[in-house]
Amino acid sequence: MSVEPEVPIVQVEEVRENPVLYKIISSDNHVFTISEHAVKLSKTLWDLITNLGLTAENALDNPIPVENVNGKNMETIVQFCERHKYDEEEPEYTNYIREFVLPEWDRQLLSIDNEELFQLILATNYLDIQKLMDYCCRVIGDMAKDKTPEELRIIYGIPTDAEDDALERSASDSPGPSG
Amino acid sequence: MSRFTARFPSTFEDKDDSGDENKTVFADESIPVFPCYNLYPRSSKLSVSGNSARLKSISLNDNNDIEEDTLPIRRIGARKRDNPFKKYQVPDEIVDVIFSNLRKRDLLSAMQVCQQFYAVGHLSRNWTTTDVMERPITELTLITLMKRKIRVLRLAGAKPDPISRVNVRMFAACMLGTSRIEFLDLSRANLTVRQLLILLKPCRKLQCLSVEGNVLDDQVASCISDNKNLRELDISMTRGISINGARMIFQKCNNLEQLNASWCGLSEPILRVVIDNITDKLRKLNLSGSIRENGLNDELVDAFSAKADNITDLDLSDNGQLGDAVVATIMARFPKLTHLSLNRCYAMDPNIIVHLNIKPSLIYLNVHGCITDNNMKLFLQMCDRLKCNTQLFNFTAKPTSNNAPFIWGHNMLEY
Repeated sequence: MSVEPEVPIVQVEEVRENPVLYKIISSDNHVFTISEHAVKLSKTLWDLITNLGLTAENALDNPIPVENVNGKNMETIVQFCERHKYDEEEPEYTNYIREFVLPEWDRQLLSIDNEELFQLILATNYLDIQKLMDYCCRVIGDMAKDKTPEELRIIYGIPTDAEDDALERSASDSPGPSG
Repeated sequence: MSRFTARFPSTFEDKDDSGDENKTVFADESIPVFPCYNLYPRSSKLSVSGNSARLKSISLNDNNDIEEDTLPIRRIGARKRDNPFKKYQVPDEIVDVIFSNLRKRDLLSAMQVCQQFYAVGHLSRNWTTTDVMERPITELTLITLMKRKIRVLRLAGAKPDPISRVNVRMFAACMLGTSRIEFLDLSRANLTVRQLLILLKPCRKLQCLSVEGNVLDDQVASCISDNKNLRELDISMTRGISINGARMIFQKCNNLEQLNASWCGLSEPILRVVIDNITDKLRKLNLSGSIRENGLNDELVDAFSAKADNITDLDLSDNGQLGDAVVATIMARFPKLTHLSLNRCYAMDPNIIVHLNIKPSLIYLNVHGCITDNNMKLFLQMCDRLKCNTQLFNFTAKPTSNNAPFIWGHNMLEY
């Protein structure tokens, strides 16, 4: 009895969803499955798939290794791609200023530590996902709103030139002439 | 002796001014107010050697503790973070995308953070439209601005510093550079010739330019003449235009569609140069306020009317020499004319002006000051087809009208 109400929901999903699934292995050997529409958001992965000639039959048998991305970031990326796989193509930005609104769901997804966010950006850059890139950069940009340079240095942990020089000097001095 | 004092100033002071307290007071009195820790000696051996009792009373160890407590930037307990940009070697392209989310004022503070940010922010396309309206500027500001990727620049009403100068090498480099500015608004900025050269010399692609109220000598004119695609030129209220300068500008800029040369001291020979070089591309013209007794006359208007068939908006106000013949010229020529201003042309007979009512294309007529108050009612009755005296100002080739936040259609507001 409990199975019956779920059936139509699955069917609706089936109608929209392409059954082709791909497997991705992250650098620390976590395995993720991702649908075809979602994987198309990443230009790198999609190029890889077309070049490898993976089809619906052999896709699950041939997992794609992604060396540069760890499991945690890959999980976020897979979540993001599955969420946005049916989004309409966005028009090319004619204006340099990005005039989009960050959806609440994505804001929640990206409300993570600074360090993780930067790792995620580098992973996104590697996988070439334009939309996630825009969203991540928006999150980082929002941190800088209405801040003085000194506050920005604290937020991003960037030393001033004087401090930087001092650090480099101490680093070069520390081995000593003997070492 | 002099060498010796240069090396050990503290010793010198202690010996010579042993009785003078004022010289040595700086240490204990200034520190609570200005914490200059770099200047303060760390080792207690160094300076508390001499005779000053007050210096001796300071415990330097206490002050070292203060140094720990009140470091200017890092706070106690603040979590120290590594610089993620350095740690992950974030490439400049990503920083550029991040900066594209910032408003200009945030971008400016970000550019002060470190050298990488400055370099990326300097080249950011965020500067495509830049508004420096009514801000204080120096030559250095202008040179820095010219190096950025600016397409629309508004310097209207800026407050330039006439004294501070950049060094010769930077100036020369700027003179040799090129810029991609297409829309430049310098109205009411009152820049020096040198500052105008910094701005105008690199420009080759200008489409619209307003130098209202600035100096327009031959050097500046030759810079303007390099922009062959100039469509709208506003030289109103400028001073110093010569026949030579006018020849340079109007012979080379053949694509002018709007020209505002009002109140810039145009004499008859200069006007002849302007009118000789006018093409039929011109749609709006403002020649009001030429020099009295030696300015725009009936013959010049006649010569000009033969060349400019496409004129829709004509302003000949404040030209006392214009007589009734001009009205006849206007009636016969200018088939597309819709806006006409003849304010304060006192030599014209109102009885003749009334005939403009039957010119089919004309819609707006401005004759402020030509008609006496008593006759105004009668005049309006006779010109029943026209909209008389509806416009107070002429906006030919002006960047903005009615204080709108647009210059030549480009929005200057940030979202």
